[in-house]
This record gives sequence, structure tokens and C-alpha cells, in this order.
Amino acid sequence: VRVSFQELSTVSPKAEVCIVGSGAAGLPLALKLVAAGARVLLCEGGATDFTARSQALYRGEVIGDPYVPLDVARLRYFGGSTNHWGGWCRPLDAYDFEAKAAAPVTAWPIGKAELDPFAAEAGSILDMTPLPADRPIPGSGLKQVHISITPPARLREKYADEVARTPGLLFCLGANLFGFQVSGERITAAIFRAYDGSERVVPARYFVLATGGIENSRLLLWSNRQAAGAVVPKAEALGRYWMEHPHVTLGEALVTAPERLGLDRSDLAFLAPQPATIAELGILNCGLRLHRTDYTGVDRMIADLSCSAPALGRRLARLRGRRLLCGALLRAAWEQEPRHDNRIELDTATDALGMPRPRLYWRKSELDAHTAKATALALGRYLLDQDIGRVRLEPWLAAEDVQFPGEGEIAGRHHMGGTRMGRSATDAVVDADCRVFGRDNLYLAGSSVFPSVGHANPTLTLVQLSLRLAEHLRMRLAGSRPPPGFPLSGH
Amino acid sequence: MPSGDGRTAVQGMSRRAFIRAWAVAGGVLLAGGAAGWRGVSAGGNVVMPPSRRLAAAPVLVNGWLLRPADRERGFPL
Repeated sequence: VRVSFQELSTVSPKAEVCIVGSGAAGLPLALKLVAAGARVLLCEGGATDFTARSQALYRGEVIGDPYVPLDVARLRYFGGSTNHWGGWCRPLDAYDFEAKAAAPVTAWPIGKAELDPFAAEAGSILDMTPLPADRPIPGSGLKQVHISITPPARLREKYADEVARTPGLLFCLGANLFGFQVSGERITAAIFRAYDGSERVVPARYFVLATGGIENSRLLLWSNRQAAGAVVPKAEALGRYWMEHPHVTLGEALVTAPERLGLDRSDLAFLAPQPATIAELGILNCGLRLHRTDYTGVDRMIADLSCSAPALGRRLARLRGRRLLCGALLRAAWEQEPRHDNRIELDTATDALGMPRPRLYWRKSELDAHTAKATALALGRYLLDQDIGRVRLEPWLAAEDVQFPGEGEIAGRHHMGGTRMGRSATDAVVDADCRVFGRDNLYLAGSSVFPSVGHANPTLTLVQLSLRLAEHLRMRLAGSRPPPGFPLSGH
Repeated sequence: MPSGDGRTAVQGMSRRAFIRAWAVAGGVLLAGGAAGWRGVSAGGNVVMPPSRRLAAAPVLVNGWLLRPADRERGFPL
């Protein structure tokens, strides 16, 4: 049921849960809570469609490695960034939740088993296809993995009717969160601001911030500054440990046994290190993507190889003539090291609402370079050991001192971390229930709570977390629910 | 000590020393003889090249990960 910004203060006291953000994190959370009988107010800062004015609020500065402009990586309107995402889904591996030897800070306070009960429902929301089991590749230390690649679910189109018709769900567009009111350990109200400067104060029992991997940090940093630290009382980690999935073309490969890598039945195969390999090589998780090339590409690779190994080149050329040789582009998307220095801060410049813009500090580390290079070399050594091919690394990767290219893919536009989940406020912002440390009724949803990120695309995991949060809030509401039966205005 | 890629770790090591190192590391020797010695780590990865290959550790040549022999006698398929 749609409500206007002007009506917000009037109708909001009837909402039990106020959710800010209607993207992949906020919308499934709202619908699941309403289905469980909760009264929910869903506030979206944007409109039903893209507007330049709303999108401009995402602008911000990037300091460090080259990165895509912040205002093009995410979308700020109903449905959020599901309006332009690619639709790739894969759950995190079980060992992604554990402390990896190379960076123990990767540990989550929960295990995969905590999210598994929500995998099917999240997959359904995202139109995901069931995935075959991972297949270890003997002798390689790698495994073939799978990613669901379907036409991306556009949550705005998929759920617009349901949002409009669902009793118990109030939906307000153009509601830009601007701060919180606090009393004791509880948030008592959220403050929303319109472009004309008018504000609405919205009380609720529970508040959930689901505004994305940069905005969750920015809004909390700003709210905290305004409230003299009362919104996030223990803010040592707020904005910190921000992460991406770096995406880079590592090189290419010539393969005589494509079936070993899964390239016989598909033009795209995914490989990843097995957990023992991750430990032994001292790396983080890494998804290798092998894109089968046409024979023009194979010829070019043979010609290049022949400069260094003429006899080998001649042998491969004969195989190519009999169509017994496969060429593949070798790309990677990997788990970035969670680092305290990679962070969101508030800039001195402000946006159209008067809020400080975000400033992102983002650099890849030596461990990031090691992860990419060691995984590519693991594939190369497997091909050598089995005599089934050769790998070529890009010159920058083959160099002793790896310097990542400053252009090209850069990263997956996956904004993660900044309000990480953990066991204590010394290095985390939310607890295992996604609740802000020291605040009884303030929760965060989305990939901003990821303590580490594996190599899998993040959307499935963040939807799983939202559905789990819905279950948590449902139980809390069940213990403190007021007498049922009072109607929401606008029904 | 064996570090996963094996070759670097055992380069220059005698077979006796290698076997001792793997026993300490929890590795298991799989086979010997004509095929050369191979090892598998506690994690299940084959990491030990035959001793004859120790002198022929992979090299990066213009980005290609090759055996030294690749430059002389071609691809042994």
C-alpha cells in the first residue's frame, strides 16, 4: 500500500518494522515479514523509475586503486541494483565462513548451516537454477564449480503488484533517511528528509537499514555524527573492512583435454581452489573463469607460444589442425582480503540533501595479488603435470612485483563490508543476528555485513541473510506483539 | 617444507630428505619406480613431482608456464 512522504508521520506509528531500502536486501525482508503477519513500513529514497536526482546522491570520491564511479555501480530506486544486476548466483562455500590461514579476519560468527535453510527461498526470489555439486579435479588442488546464470530477476517488476496489494505493507517512495532519534539503548525514530528540506519523524519498534554496501556505512556514520555517537556507540569498525571482488583477466590457456576442466560441454567453466589448496598456498578463495575462444584465438596463442617454444608450437599446431586443441581466456574474480584500511568515510562535500558524500578508500593488497597469481599457477601446473595444456600469464601477472592493470574490468561492482558482522564491537558493527552492537532494535541487511566475501557473487547470500533476519524479527515480534486486528490506513 | 606446489619446496632436496620431510608434514607417498616419486599432502593434493622432474621445475617464459624441455623437444603428448 503506497503512502506519500507527507503521510509518513501519520501512518508510521502503526508499523512495527521500518525498513530503509527496497533492493535485494530490503524487499525480500519486507515481504517475508508481512507474510508472517508483521506490519512493515518500507521506505525507498528513490522513485519507481530511475531519476538523475536520486542517483546523484550516490556520488562520491574514490581514493586508492582505480575503481568505477560510485554513482554508476548501484541504482537508487525501487528494486535497487537488481534493476541492472547480472543475475549470477552461487552460495558461499562452507569454508568461506571460517578463518583462512592467510587472513584469519575472514571468519564469520555464523556458519554456512545458518544460511542453508534459506537457500531455496532465496534462490526462488532470484530465479536461480539448481546447481550441480562441485567436482574436484584430481591432481590439481582445484575443483569445478557452478554458477547459476539466468535472466536476472528484476525485483521491481517481479514484486510491484505484491507490494501494492499486500495488506500490512506500507511503501513510501522519496523517503531519504537522514538520521535517527535515540533513547537509551533503543532507536525511537528514523528521520526522513525530502529534497525541499522537509522532514518526517517515523517511530517504529525495529529499524532495518538495507541501503547497500556503501550507503549503510555512510548513513550510520552520518547518523552517528549527528547523534554524538549514540546510534552506533561502539563504532571502531564502522565503515571499515570494505571489500570488492576484483575481476581481472589473468591470461589464457591451451588445453588438449577440455573435459577435465568442464570446457567440453560449455564455453564457460568455473574453477576454484579446494580448501586444502587455499591453506597450502596461503591464499583466499578465487574463482577462475575459463571462456572458450574460437580458433582464431587458438591460432594467435599458438603463434605466441611458438616464439618461446617452437617445437611445442609445431606440435600444438598439428593438434589444432585436427581440432584436438581448445583455447580459453583465463579470468578471475576472487575474495579480496578484508583490510581495516579499506573504508568508507564522510567527505566534506555534501549532497543535495545536505548529507556528507561518501569517500571510499580502496586498495588491493599483496595477498590479493598472491591469490590471483597462485591460483592461475595452480591451473598451469596441473596442465603441465598432466601434459594436457599450457597457461600463459599476462605480463603484469608474470612480473615479480605484480601491479594490477588500471583499466578493464577492475571489479564486480559488488559493494561489501563496512558494517561487518562479528563477535565483538572491537572489529565488527553487527552481531550474528545483524543487530548493531549496543543497540537493541537497529539491524542491518545486505552485503555490508559480510565479514569476508568468498568468490561467489554476493546477491544470493545477502538475500539469505535477509530471510534469516526476517525470521529473527518475527520471533522477536511474537514475543512483544500488540493485540492484533487494527487496520492500517489506506487499506 | 612442502608448501603445496612442492617443486619449489623440495628443489635441491635428496629423495631421502624429501621422504623425511613429507612424513613430518603428514604427507603420504603414493608411488615410485619408473613413474618417479609422487606425494600427496594431508589435504589430498598431489604435490610431489618425480625426482627426475626436480631439475625441470616449471619456468615462466614470456608469460607461458613451461617445462624447460618444452623449448627443446615439444609437447610430450
